[in-house]
Amino acid sequence: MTVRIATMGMAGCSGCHIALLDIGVKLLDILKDVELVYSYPLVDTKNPIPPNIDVALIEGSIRTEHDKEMAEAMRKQAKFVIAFGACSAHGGVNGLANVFGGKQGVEYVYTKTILMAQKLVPSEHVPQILTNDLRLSDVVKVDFVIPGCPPNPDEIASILTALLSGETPTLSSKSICDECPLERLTEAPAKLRRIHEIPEPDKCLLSQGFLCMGPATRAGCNAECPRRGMPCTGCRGPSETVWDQGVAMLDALAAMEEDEISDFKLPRLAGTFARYTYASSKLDNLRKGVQKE
Amino acid sequence: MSKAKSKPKPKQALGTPKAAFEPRIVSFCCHYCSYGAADLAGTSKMAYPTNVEIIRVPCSGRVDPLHVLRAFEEGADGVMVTGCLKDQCHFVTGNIHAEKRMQKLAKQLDAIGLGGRLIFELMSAGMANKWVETASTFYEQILALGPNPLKHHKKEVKSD
Repeated sequence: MTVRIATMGMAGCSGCHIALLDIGVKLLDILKDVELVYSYPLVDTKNPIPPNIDVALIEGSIRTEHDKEMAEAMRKQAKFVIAFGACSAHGGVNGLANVFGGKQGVEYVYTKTILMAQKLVPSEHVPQILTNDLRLSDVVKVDFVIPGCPPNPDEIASILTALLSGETPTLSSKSICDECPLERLTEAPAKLRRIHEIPEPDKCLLSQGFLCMGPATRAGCNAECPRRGMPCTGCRGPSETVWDQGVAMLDALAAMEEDEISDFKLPRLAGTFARYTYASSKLDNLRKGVQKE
Repeated sequence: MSKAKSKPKPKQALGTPKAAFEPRIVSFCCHYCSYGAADLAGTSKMAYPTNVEIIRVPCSGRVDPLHVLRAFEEGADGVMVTGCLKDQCHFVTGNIHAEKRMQKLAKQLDAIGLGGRLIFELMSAGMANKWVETASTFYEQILALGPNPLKHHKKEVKSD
């Protein structure tokens, strides 16, 4: 029996599709049982979405009316919808646009920035832009989430293989720190450091003062970044026990001696602690509620 | 327990005329100091607004910024976080950590349009006066600010 798979791209960079190809040789094994019925890099997207799709992988966040419509159309045809990648799962980097306040932000970009010659928000011949960046689950029911920016190819492979063999795929419920091989130090960071101040190897980056999002981020990527001396940016979204990645990190680092986080304004806080999850964070939920008034 | 039994209070404690807007204020009180202060205020029959709803926590350091955000999401008009005096925390540094957290959170709340709705105060278990003063001034402050703008949209906000 072949499984009918479709992929779709919304507001994103198609990096997740590249990650899908990046599975490598294992992809051939997966493709044996799979019929790819719809994929936006391969087909003319004006074609209607074929019926009876078993698994749909949807990449990117919902930014325009068109995205919303396509997501709803895909949901109607697909039995199992996967939010594929950080944008689709949590709002992604696109979601940081919400920091500048929905409608105001959109108007600013189209009317105040120097590159826009016409100085008006486009309304004809293009799909209407939504005031806020939304994740996929804000629009349609999502059955499973593959987080990551981009998702880890090994993880995609294992999830697809599990799905093809009829099992329910699972994500790790631990945090990045559980997978990280660096030595944990007990003391809190004395002061914040930037990444160009080269970290000591083999020691916890957060204890050295580099803002590593490991403690609040879901494991499953084998801590690839901290392992190589690059602080985690939190692309895999909040871990199982964390409700809100940004606020959890703010909470954790609040007790630092040298108090630089106090100077963080909202854009910096969101960009540092909730880079991939701001659009679905509690702070942004509150802002959306306040601005509706 | 004794608190629950001695609960009945006059509905308008301060004798103010009933306003059209009755704020709901959530107050996180630490078990060792500010809850004691509130308790003392009750047993000494001091009057403070009944709008203050107390949630007892082991230490003010227990209050996660997320608890505060959740309270606003559920429609609270104001949130008070109260703890022990400096250097008197039962858990040594809980109140200091709580203060830093709440300062940082208050700054972000200003940015999203909920400024002035979160306060942090320190008091000992004997400072019933300060509790009454804090609760009353915060009540006035929230009355002036008006209702939480999220209240009408509560159902539309996803609670994840």
